[in-house]
Amino acid sequence: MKHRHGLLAALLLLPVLAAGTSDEKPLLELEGEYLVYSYDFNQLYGERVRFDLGDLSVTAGVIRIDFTSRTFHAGGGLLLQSGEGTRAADELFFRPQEGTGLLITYGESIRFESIGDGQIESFLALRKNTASISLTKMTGSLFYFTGRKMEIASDYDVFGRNVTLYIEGLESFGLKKFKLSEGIKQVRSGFALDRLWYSKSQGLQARASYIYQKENKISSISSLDYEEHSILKGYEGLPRQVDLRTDNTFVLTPGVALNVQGNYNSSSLWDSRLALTKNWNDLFQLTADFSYNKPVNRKGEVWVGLAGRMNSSSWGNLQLAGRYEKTRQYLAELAYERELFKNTRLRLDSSYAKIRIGGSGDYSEIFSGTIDLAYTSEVFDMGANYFLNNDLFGKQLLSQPQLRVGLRPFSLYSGLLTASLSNMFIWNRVQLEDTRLSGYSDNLVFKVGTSPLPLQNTLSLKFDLAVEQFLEKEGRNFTSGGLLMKLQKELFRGVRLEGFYSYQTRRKTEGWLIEGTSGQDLSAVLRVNPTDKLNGWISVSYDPKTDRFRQSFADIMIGLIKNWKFHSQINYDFLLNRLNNIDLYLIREAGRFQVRVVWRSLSRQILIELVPN
Amino acid sequence: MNRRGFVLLTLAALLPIATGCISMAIKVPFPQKNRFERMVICTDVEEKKGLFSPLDITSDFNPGNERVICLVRLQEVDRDVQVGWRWYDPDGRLVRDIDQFIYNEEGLSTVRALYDLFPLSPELKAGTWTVAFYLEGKMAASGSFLFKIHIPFTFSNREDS
Repeated sequence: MKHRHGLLAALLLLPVLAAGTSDEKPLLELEGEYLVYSYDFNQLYGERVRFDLGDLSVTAGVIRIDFTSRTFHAGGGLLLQSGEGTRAADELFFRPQEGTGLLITYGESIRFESIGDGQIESFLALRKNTASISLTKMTGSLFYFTGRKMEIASDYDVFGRNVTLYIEGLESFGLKKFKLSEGIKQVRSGFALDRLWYSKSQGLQARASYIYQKENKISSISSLDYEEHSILKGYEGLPRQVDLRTDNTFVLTPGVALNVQGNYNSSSLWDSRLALTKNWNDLFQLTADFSYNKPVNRKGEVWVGLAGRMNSSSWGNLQLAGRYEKTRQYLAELAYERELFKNTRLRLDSSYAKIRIGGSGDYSEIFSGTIDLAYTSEVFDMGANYFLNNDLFGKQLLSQPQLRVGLRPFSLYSGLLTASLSNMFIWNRVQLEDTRLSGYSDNLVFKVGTSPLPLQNTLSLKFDLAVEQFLEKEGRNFTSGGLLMKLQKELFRGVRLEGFYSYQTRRKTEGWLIEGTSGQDLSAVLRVNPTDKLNGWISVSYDPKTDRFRQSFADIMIGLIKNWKFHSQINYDFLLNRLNNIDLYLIREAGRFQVRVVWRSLSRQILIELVPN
Repeated sequence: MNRRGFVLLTLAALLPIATGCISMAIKVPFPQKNRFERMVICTDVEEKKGLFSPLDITSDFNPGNERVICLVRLQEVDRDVQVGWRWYDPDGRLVRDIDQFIYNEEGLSTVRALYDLFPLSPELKAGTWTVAFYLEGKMAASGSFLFKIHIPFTFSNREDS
């Protein structure tokens, strides 16, 4: 018990140790007439702004920053002051961390000028990241802050001085100095309360996580799940359960990283792993690891392992791994893949495992391997595969060669018809201690489909047909076929009716005997999407064979005010003559997350969820 | 909740105000008027409630497209303003320079959506074209689109050839 608490404390301390000390000097200090930071989108918009970039003092009409992609863009009449004087430009893309940028001036021609060693193409590719940033978008956020002074720290956290918080557009209160970007998972560093809910069946549940990242140095993710069941009447399981996970990577020197992982569950199950990885120019990688696993009600296992990887465009990709456990358990893996000739790939993998069976003194011992050779072209694909599984303990050997060949989908009559043909042959051989069994099977599939055929202006028809022939050594042969017809009619703008008819048949032939089954389905779907505010569909299916309706589904989304929307999913079963399920959602889209109030009829639960997008 | 818990909770809630972390006296700044909001590049526009909206927003064009439209939206326009578009070919040369005046005789603060169109033809140079939008003489936004001249490959036209 004592060492378990010690482990828990160590796991909790890891992320704190990972966080270490942070740099105090801000990356960028912004002063403007109007600055707004959207927590939802992790973006900043500013008007009439001043900031320093290296030796330059910059004045801009507008600044737009997307922190997720780390894109900084200033424009709207730029003035740049330096020791050499003042000059004007139209746009500036920049990277404050590196002190580099690209100045653009639009005159009789476009003039580019690099600041530092900024490359033109790499900066122009960033344009799309800030194009959508506008004041309307920012102030449509669930949470946003306005102010005149904001600072961006070296880890891209945003701090505001004398800022005002707005919640759903309503001015709330002022904050003297506040970390604006603190929050949920997507934030590079910070605590997050991911979920907190209560239900009659599961009790109180909470999930929190902590992330710390320092570029090229530390990456740490920890999460804690807590379930409290003692408040439930008649709950028969554990009164409470805690699950803690942590994963921390420390870059010791360029190319060398140390990874520490730990999982702890209050049901006496825990494991930990320490791994040291060395990379050589992305070509070779070597990992040595040590781990301890503690399964429930069994002795712990101590494993050591060594794994190597080579990625070479000319020699192929090779992976080798071996692991040893102190009670004589072994694992070994080999994988190799390379392009032999143009369009021809070879893949080999094999593994050997000697593992203890439960708590007994017996061991299972299995060797397995696969060789796969595949050829792809514009016209057809072909492949050969050999699979072998040798159970050395149970003395069973399974070998399975197979051959695949297929004609890729090709179009005929100017794209009116699309067809494909494929065949797979498998030969099985099982060798037991005193018996040998062998068999084979062959599966041939032919598919043909039309593109939508216009019958009238707003009416179209589409067919798909598939035929499959399955043969095997024992003579149980199947012939299967399927037809799908889709009729589509646009009733009004944004209102579409679709009708589906499908017929499937499966016939078994054995000697002179033919038997089989068939099924039919007739469905109709009404799709409604007249505006952005209304989107939904309702479907009903009917079985012509039994002359009965089967099921009906409805999915409706209605846009409410701002970014709130109502969403419902309903399922009705005609055979049972009852509503199977109703899910109702009230959703607030807030950029990088959603706030959802959910009611589920099956579990009779009301959930409030904060879901990362 | 007992009285002690209520007092502790109230004290905890007042602590940020007492220590000055939360303030009700911070002045709220306001954004400027006659503001650029957004630029999109599209193949067509439609009019909805007196405002132009984009149809088929894209950055890929070919000779099958008749034109490129650059649509912009301005917010809180409360006076007469001058706007302009400059179109540049893949070599960065100015090929079209157009100005417009927006009159606001009533002086009401309104949203305005405006566009300029650039005709396409197979003779135009393939590559990345650029368009810059100006508001009151200052560049407000820029965008780019790719003009491609190619014949798409299909299995059927390979057979025919």
